[in-house]
Amino acid sequence: MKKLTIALLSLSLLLAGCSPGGGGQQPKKIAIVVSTLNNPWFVFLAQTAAAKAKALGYESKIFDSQNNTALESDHFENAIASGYNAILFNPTDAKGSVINVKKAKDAGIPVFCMDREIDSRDAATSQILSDSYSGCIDLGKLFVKALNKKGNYVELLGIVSDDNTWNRSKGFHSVVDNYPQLRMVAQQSADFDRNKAMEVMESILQAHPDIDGVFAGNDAMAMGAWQALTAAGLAGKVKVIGFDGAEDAINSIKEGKLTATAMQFPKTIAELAATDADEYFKGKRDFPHKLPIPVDVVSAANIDKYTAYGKKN
Amino acid sequence: MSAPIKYALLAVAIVLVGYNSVYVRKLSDVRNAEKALDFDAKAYALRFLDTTLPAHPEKAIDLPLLAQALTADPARAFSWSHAQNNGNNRFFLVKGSGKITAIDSEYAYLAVEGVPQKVKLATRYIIGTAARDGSGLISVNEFTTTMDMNTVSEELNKLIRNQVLPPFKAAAKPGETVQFTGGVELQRDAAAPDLWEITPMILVIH
Repeated sequence: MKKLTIALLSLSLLLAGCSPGGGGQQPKKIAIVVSTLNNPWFVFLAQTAAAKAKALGYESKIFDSQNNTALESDHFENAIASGYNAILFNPTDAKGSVINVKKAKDAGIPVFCMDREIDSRDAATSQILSDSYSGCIDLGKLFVKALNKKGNYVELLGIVSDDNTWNRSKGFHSVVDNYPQLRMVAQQSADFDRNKAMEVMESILQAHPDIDGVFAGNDAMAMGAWQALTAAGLAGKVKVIGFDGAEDAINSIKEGKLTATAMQFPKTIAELAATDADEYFKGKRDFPHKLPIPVDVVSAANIDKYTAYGKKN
Repeated sequence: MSAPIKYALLAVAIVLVGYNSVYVRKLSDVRNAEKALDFDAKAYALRFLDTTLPAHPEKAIDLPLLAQALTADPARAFSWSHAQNNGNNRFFLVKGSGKITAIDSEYAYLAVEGVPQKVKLATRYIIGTAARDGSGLISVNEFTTTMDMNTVSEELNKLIRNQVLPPFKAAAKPGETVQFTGGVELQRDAAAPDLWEITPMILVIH
């Protein structure tokens, strides 16, 4: 019996030595779970996180949730079962994703949220989030000025279960609703998706051809709205505002098409998340629950200072 | 065991399992319970404006001191600022006293001793997060969601519009002196302002 115990103990120690988290030679592994890779902004976020993880000496793998909470749940289960040591996470659903983060936490795996929030203070180790609300206050001020305090406008919302959607909408309305001559004639969700935004905008234009502005909750939807407006012969007449700082939006502002966007800084967010994971592995535990990252309004007035996804060096 | 007893026991078991598996509650009760768990931004904002802020007068910088520091030592001046992020837009809680020089539909204009620039109190459009962020007393880490914190900002602005401004607007006249505490937003990379716009939070006319 004693020999058997010693043999089992030896085997356990050997296995622990070989595991990624056991202090052996293998690098730790970081799972990067993102809401969708169907939007270039999230591709950039995920790839930047992976590059930073690699630079810090870790293995990483990107998982695409395809905006599907069930698929996201599968990714978390796979990541837990496969022995990943940390998860850099861009959630699909502020409420629905909390359970996945809790599962990882219960398994001893820290989760660092990127850009999108989950509705929990303590499930994730930290949440690095764009300050969408403040950014949209500034966009709202610009919108009021661009429309000279009057006119009809349309709002395209993102995914309705995402906090960013509402923080952006609320920030914008906290300004624009003070001006009674600015009338919102339609407010519809296009799920942050360019093609859906084009279809929704085409449909809205049937009922409301006389609009002066569009506020879209992200750049993909702003570009989709622009396509619909172009097809309707309204491009240039209608001021279109997006949010993100994506490459096509920045180019569009340069070409005098889109009026403005709000530059998020996905490089900062992704690199901070990977750095937090590194510091966690080294023993740090006192991370801020939520860390808002500032966003900048980008318009024709300052476009020269910006490039896709960030500021020029 | 005879068949009737077996069936009777089976029926009792089915009834017991069924009874314990299905709960019927009024939808309104469920919704009210959910509402009770919701964060009450309005109550938070009211408590902040009526109790928390007056209890911390030390959080407000004298406007003449801030105006002077912005010119002489901007780094020192911005060390008194706050924000929920580390961006260019920074917020201050300022206090002071000034004589009303003019009033229009959007502002009350003040002359404040020791402040060479014009000073105006917003009286119509209460926009932005200066009221929430100027004092540094409200932190994002207090809240379950950033939406809750942002709703506090909206409720604070509403309270200023509906509670702070009406008595002031009814009584304020040029020539009178007003004591103010309020929020100010400044850009770190901009020059010192040539005009101070204050979101008023506490106003007393003397």
